[in-house]
Amino acid sequence: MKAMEWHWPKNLEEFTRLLKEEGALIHAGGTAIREERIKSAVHIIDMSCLSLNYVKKQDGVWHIGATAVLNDVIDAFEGAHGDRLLVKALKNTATTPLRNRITVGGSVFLSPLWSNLMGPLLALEAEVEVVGKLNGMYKYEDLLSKKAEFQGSAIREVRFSDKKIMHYFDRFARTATDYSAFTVTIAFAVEKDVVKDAKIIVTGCKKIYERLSQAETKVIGKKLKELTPEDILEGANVEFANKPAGSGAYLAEVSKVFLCRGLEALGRAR
Amino acid sequence: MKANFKINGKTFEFEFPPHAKLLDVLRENGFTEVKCGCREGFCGACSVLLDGKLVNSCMIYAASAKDREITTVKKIGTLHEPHPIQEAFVEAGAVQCGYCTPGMVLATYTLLERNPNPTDEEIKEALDGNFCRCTGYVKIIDAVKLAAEKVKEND
Repeated sequence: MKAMEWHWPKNLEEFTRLLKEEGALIHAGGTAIREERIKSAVHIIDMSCLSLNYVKKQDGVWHIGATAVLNDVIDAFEGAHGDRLLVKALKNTATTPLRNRITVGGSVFLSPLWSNLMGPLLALEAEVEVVGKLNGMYKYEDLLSKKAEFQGSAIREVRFSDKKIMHYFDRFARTATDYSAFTVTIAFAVEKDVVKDAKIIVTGCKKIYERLSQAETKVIGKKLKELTPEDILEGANVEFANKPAGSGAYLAEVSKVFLCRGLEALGRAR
Repeated sequence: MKANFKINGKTFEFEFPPHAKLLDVLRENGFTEVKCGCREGFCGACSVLLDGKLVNSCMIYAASAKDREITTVKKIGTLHEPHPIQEAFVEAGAVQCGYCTPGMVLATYTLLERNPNPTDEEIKEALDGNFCRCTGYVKIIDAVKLAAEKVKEND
């Protein structure tokens, strides 16, 4: 068996060439890759020399490089007084030293529930720029639904518009440092107290995520003060598997409580 | 494989297996002030600063930290010339067995660099990756507040 080798490509051309090697494993810099996986790789391609550790806003669009870490995103958004949805989600992710290491690229590509990024990025209609086998811009939603097609590719950048939205994010976990059992994200685009666009997303359920499209339709066109959570959520049924944090039935009930809380909070926030 | 690391201001070349964690490479080369705790990134005993940022060295492959600047608690202060943060931990009675203390001191150091006047909430947030299983956290939070005062006096 060929000995394992680490590579530190200095530019994207070198990086994409290395991606084609058999047994290549991408290391964006984070903490998700287990030692057994590292041992079984032939080529480990470390992205840390690619100068992708940026978070910036250009022409009303946020650009987050793949090797930016979660705390870089929190700092940039807090500093820019930008939208706090990502800040709220990421501050509930792992701990300070882990957030100094977990990268956006790895978290988006793997989209583990514990990163709390999935709901907010779906709500923000994020896009990802990928390099490798696939090249170009893709909807984050596509990355989640067609993950197998993205094997052999790597995230270069995550982008989303700096839209003004009202939002609610919460997660259910047994303790503050526990992994999320599920997350609830609600985002409204509002003009003169009227909801123009709505995203209501639950992650951690039986599907990778659920968008409550019917509930979204009921909200659009309504004034914030007219929102009645029970009516909006009538018929909404998110299914969960049993988890350490509770049975599927229990989590389904708790997720409804979170959804009600979120809708009530946004209704009051007008 | 071999790689260079700049540790506490000096450059070292170490040889290690390609899958080795930074924690093990540091300890095997004499930096035993970096403590080995949970090996899962939860307890913070193995905290070091990597290019100035607080990280869990048990969660970092040594190869991915090559040519980077690593700071251990020994760079912050010594037994004979302790840093005001270390003095504060002693004075506040925030040290019992001491195993978590190097990580706590480094977490406090990075906090006070960014925020010289932290609130209790900000202290809890900054130390959320460092566990103590002896004293509890009341005296540790007292120590961070005392440290903030001492650091300001020293500036």
